[in-house]
Amino acid sequence: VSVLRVVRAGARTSVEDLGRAHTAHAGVPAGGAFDPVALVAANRLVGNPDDSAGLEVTLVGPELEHRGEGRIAIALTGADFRARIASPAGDERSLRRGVVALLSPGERLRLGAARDGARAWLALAGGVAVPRLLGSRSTCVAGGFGGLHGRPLHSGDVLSLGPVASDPSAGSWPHAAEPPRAPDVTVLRILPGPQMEIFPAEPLSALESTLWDVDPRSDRTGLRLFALDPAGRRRLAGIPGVAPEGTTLGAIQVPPDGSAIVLGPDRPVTGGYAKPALVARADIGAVACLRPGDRVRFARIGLEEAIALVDQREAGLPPKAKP
Amino acid sequence: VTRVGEDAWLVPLASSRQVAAAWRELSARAGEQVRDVVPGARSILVVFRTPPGDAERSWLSAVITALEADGDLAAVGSTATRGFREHDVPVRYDGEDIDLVARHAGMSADAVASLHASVTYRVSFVGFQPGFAYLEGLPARLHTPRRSSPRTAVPRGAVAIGGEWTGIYPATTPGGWNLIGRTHLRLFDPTSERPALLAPGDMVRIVRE
Repeated sequence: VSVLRVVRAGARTSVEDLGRAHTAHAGVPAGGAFDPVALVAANRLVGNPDDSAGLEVTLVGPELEHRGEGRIAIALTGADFRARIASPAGDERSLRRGVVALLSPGERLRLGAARDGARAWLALAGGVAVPRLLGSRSTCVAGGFGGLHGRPLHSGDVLSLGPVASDPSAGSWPHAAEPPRAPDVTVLRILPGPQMEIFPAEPLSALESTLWDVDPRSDRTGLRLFALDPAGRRRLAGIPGVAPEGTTLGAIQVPPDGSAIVLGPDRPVTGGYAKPALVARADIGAVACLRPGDRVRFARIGLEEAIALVDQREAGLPPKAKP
Repeated sequence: VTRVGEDAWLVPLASSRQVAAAWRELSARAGEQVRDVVPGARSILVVFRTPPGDAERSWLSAVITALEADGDLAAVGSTATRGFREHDVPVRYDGEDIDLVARHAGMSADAVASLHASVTYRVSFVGFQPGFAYLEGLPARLHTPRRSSPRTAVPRGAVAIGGEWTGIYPATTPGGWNLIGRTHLRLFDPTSERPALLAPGDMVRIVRE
């Protein structure tokens, strides 16, 4: 059995897979990796099925020590956390993103503070072996269940891994080495939201013409954005709410104060704020990698283009692991 | 029916009965391509795993049309025959805000308790947090605006009023509703086949303690 000890938990590290299905009627969010494509890429590299549970790390990564037997295939995708592997003798080697590495017994995987972006996904061969609850191993903090004891990791926790499904891949995921984040302003592509028919065109153009700042209170429920220019804020303030309705990943809620919240995987399943637009699925990985203080702009695209972008991103994935 | 992004459609409906009927029917007939069917106050959101096309659109229209033809979408007759359940919820009316609600309604705290307990409520939808059911049917006199500043911790089991809705907090959490009482019932259990005690379309009777 492969066992890892959490030497340092990092700022927020949680067990995530691809999330839940058919649980919204019970108020349970889908959850799962903020960027599912990045987790799938990491899983395929280590030979796991796509929905194996890995770790999502945020802003400051964890330090994990291999306390079991045999070597563990690992792969990291997402932001650059200056990951390296330290031997018991004190030698360090760096872990490249998007390719497989092997962790030997006694070695430690050390992640530092994110140098670009905000999140990364770590796949471990065999997957994190926690019980599946409501169809998933993802951590549901709002419900206090799933993942490891229904909460992010703490220092001192111990993670067991499941049986290894197949050999690791010799391939790579180039996207991991190229953070989707632009140096100055991240442009998120958006589609019109469900209430655009009842709103004037104004909110969408106001969203697009405003420069946004990422608030530190952002988390997996949503990325909070504030308009940097007061005119933009005024144009979006006071939009009336709607009867509470189901929410989607990436939906942009505009509360009456004129701020914007891009909903994440742990969002409440229903919400009553107006949603003039939503972030295209191909750019959810970019949303996951935004950090407090980052600048954001929105740019409208069409549905066909959005679907093509999803296909394009998924076409770049390494091949599925063969059992 | 409105397209919501690459993967979902939002179906507007006229009442919570329609929402509950449509949720049950769509969930029962959903294939592997459906990720979730999300009941809202006056709508159903159908989320697919991959961008849906004409076939999925036809499927959705067929289910809604069949429900309408059946008359069920307009009026869900018997709760029992459709699998909706009836619950007796014991409530002790000793919430911190019951006097505030009483002042707002212009009646005594005891009258607030009697009036609140006299109604059979319908679960409209579940949201905000796991197992939190929005109960429809609150008498108009008891409608009370949410607190201007939410509490950082509302205790598990708190029975509360938020605007036109009443509900029960399944776990200790921040919350802005007015607390009028509490129940010892467990509303959410992730290890259960039916994790939320209260599902859309269910009826709730209050048993005053």
